[in-house]
Amino acid sequence: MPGLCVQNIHKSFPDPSGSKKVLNGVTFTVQPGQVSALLGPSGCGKSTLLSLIGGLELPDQGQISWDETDLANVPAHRRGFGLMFQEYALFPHLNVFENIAFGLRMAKTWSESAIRTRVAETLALVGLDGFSRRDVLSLSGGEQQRIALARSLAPQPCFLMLDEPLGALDHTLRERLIIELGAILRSLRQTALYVTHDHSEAFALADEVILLNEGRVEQSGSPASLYQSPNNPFVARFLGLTNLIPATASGETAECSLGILPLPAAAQGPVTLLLRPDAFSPAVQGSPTDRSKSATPDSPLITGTVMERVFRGSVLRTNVLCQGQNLSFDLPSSTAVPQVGDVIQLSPTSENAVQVLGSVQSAK
Amino acid sequence: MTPKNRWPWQKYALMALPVGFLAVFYAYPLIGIFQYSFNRAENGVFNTIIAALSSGYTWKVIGFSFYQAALSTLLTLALGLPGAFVLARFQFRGKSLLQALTAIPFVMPTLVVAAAFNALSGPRGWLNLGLMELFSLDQPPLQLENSLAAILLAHIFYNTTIVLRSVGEFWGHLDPRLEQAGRTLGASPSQTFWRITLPLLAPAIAAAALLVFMFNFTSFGVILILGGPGFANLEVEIYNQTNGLFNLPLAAVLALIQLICTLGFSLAYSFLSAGLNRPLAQKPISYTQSRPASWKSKLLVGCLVALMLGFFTLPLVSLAARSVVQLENERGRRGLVEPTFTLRFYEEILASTNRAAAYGSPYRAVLYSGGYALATTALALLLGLPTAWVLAGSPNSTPARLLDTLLLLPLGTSAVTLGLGFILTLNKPPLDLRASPILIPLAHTLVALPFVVRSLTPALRSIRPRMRQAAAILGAAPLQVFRLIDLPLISRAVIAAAAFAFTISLGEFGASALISRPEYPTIPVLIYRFLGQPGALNYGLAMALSTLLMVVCGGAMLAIERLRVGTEREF
Repeated sequence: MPGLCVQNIHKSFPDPSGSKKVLNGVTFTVQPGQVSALLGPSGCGKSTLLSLIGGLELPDQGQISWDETDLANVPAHRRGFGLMFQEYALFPHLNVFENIAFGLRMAKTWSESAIRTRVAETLALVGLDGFSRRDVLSLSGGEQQRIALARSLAPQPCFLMLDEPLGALDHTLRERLIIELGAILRSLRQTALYVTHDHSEAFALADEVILLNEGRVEQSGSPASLYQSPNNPFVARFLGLTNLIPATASGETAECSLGILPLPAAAQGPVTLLLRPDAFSPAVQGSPTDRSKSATPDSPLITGTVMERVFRGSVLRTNVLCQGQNLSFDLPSSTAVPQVGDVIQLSPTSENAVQVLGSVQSAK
Repeated sequence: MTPKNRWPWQKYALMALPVGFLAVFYAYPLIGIFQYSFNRAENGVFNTIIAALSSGYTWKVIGFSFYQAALSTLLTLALGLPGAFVLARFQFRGKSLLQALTAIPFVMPTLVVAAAFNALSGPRGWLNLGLMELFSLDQPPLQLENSLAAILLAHIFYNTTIVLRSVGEFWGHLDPRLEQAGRTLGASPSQTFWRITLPLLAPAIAAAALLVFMFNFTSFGVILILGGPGFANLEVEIYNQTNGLFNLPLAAVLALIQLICTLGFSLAYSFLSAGLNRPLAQKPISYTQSRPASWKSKLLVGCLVALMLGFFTLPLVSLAARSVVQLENERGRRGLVEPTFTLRFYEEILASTNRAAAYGSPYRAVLYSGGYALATTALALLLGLPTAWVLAGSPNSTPARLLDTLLLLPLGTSAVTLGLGFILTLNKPPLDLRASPILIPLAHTLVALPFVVRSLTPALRSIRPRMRQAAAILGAAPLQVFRLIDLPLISRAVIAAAAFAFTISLGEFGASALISRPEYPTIPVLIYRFLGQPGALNYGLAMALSTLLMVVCGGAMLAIERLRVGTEREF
């Protein structure tokens, strides 16, 4: 198979208490011309995985190959990969031009004039024409980020890795650069692996998302497929879907602290239910005494007290306390604004408003 | 840091303390001795200088000063840089002990280092005795005494710790991702080293090399004792001209030349150290260091550690061993020697009256040296604390940098000249100190002050300014802030600085040799007298006194290592 192929990678590091397993059987692929995002919380092994792919460290077990060639015996400087570091690692003793030219000089196939042309080209690509002579320490955070991108793109690597490249920047700059970065990578049809802990970055940029947790892949697929059908509670929570409720399923319904809820598909035994925050809207407002505990599938599913509400423009984020559970929903902002302390009733607006997560618990 | 513009007069008042001290006890004696010397020049100052500069011998001395210093520095780097690499990038058992061990020579008196090498490889040293025994030789096969090799070895032994510390520390905090970035851009490991690591380390290496060069350039005891009469750098020649030939005008010219060179080195050093403040991506040690994992790195670390261990332990152990073994080797008699274990030399030190008393009582020299060292410590702290406080508050201001350079100057000034200046100028009111024992602590404080200031400044700098601001908002006056916040937080650094001052005073030789009165010798002065006399007893006493100094200095160095705060290490 062409592209990058990572198979069953294991890696441990020595640790005061013996050894710590950082990667525990990681397998995934990156197709040529595709941008994949490696997503996961800090400490999940993302950076280690990048070091292994880049050849900066060696795996204990498993295989990494590029276009069906095993890379085990190829040292870092012969892999022809690019790596853009978190906080950039620009060489402080070289100016912008020499930083970008470094990889070209190492390749030894570029003439001096070709190097000048290529550096100017990549500088133009990242929108910093005329920065050649600048001292890298005089650059702003956003400029450093672009120079680092230019440096890793200049030698035309067959595969580019980006390690949390926007992590050090402020929010607005980040939002702008993520779009630019995506456009640049796509215009070059660059095969790339983008590492981040922020799911919105991964969704904005990647064709495919690989979600890593505690040294193993939890789920991979397109951003939409991950968001629409998370495999398990960890994935759901990591993607910001926090309305998770333990329940006991029996066929088409499940019993939980909120009462008996209808299920989209039949299940048995203990499960975790996900109430999608964007799939509910307010039903008719009821009085505080009107609490129907045995809701029928068509009537309002959830009754609770409004604890907090935040107007977010397109949606109204509303936190509802419901039978001791804190749930939050993104209600359409066109609905009447509920007051804190009001009792609110919510009805599902789509078929997958309630989902059963394929966790271990449901495997019966 | 402390707001620069808020209490300027307090700052200048504090700066006046060290500046005033240097003016009275450094500049004044120096000017005095130059004036006196040139007044005695029969052909006038100008002609004396011309005569000195047109003499081939002067240039030979200057040439040798540079030559031996450059060679020593290169060899020190050759051992120090691989060592710095190992200390910077690897964690291994016994590492802090190795660091302390390599640092011990630095605070050891030059005379003791010379004596240690004498005990290892001198004509009566262990190496030669062993080889003679092994091959039934009549003559010692290793002729290291009075050779350039002996000087170089001692200089490496002495100064490697400077490279290990300042370069190792800088290297240890260097972000390894810079090297990794080079690797992923296609640079091989050796290309990465030459094009990324080395250029990044360059300012740290240059600063360390310059400091090592300056110490070697002005080296005194090592060249005088290990080099013998055949070798003289400027410092030794000044001593010869002053002490042996009483040619004060020539000595003054040489001292001036040395002073000008030192000034250049100090300025260059301050400039280079400032370059180290470049905002390089600094990473904590825990991020950059790991245990050696592959067999290659294990082999590398193992070999280098073994090499350093051997090089730094052998002379010290030889010295200690030589102080408890008597080699009955009478003058004029050759043949086999019968080593016998004895504590006689230590007993002689403790005995207040003894046969060696003709050259001074060892017991009383220990007492005098201890007293001088305590006085030096008190004085150096008194001056060093306010100085460090000013320097920490305004690290990059011009007055602070000038003060920093000024503090380094006495280290490179001829101790002989300065000592003579003391005798000459501090003998009349209002500063009639000629008969006062305070003269020696004053001279020692000049040498100890830069080390004290450099131990205290990083600790003071590590105090977050917020803490001071919080104290000030709660109603503490500047002096109270210092007493209640700064002082408790830097107490460990103060103890380390005190240990530095104490050991430097114990080991100082050059100035003491001139200004100590014959009846009040310091330990190094007495060691020198004993080494110059024939006989097993005198040699043994010299070794025993040196061992005592070594133990005290080693203990102090271990204490300094333990008490260090902050991450900056300049010495």
